[in-house]
Amino acid sequence: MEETFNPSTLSTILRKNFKNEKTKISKDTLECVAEFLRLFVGEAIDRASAKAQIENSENIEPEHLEKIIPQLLLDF
Amino acid sequence: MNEESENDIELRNAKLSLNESTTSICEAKQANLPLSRNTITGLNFLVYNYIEKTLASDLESFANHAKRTTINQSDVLLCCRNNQKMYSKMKEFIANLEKKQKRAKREEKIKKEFKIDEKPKKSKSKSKSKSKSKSKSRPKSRPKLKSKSKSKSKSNLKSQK
Repeated sequence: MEETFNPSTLSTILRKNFKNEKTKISKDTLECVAEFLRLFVGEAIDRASAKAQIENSENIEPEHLEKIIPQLLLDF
Repeated sequence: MNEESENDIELRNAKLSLNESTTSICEAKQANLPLSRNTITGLNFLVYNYIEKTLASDLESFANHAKRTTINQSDVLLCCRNNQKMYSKMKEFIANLEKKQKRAKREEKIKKEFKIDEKPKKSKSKSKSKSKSKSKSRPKSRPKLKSKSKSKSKSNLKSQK
């Protein structure tokens, strides 16, 4: 079983942040959004681990995460 | 005031479940190095803010640009237009989803047809017999869609007989 986001939580958070009240989102699209975010998290971890390996550290620290965030947000 | 607190509670619960799922994803993901706890909390923060600030407005504006009010799978695809690998992965996922849905629909249709044939007199019994024997009384020509009203009328005819 792959770990994914809960579609209902995603719908609550998204609906709170919509500017127009009429916008809706269907169940299928919520599953797609969950997959998208799962890939987002996976990509972030991969890039941070690459940075951590370059710097020869034991764990992935928040500093490595900070360094990859700008490029990650530009790519998404 | 009470309504506001309910909204806050809802948001808080949503945040908590989001954090839970991100941590589970992080633990499931086998990275080369172990993740420290602070990075996981940082990722939770990142994901929540990304959804709040970027994703919601992007999806809404994409749907609005297409003159729709419901957000579509194509809008989600647009979000990952900058990254080629991500785009291809999302396309695959959407294709797989569609296949699963088609399969589920086909199975439902088949189940409905079998229920009509096997119905003795009970109306609401859910006979889960998975026998693959085709219907004997029915001709082999299978029309595409059978509306529910037609099927019910046919079953009434059979019960009268």
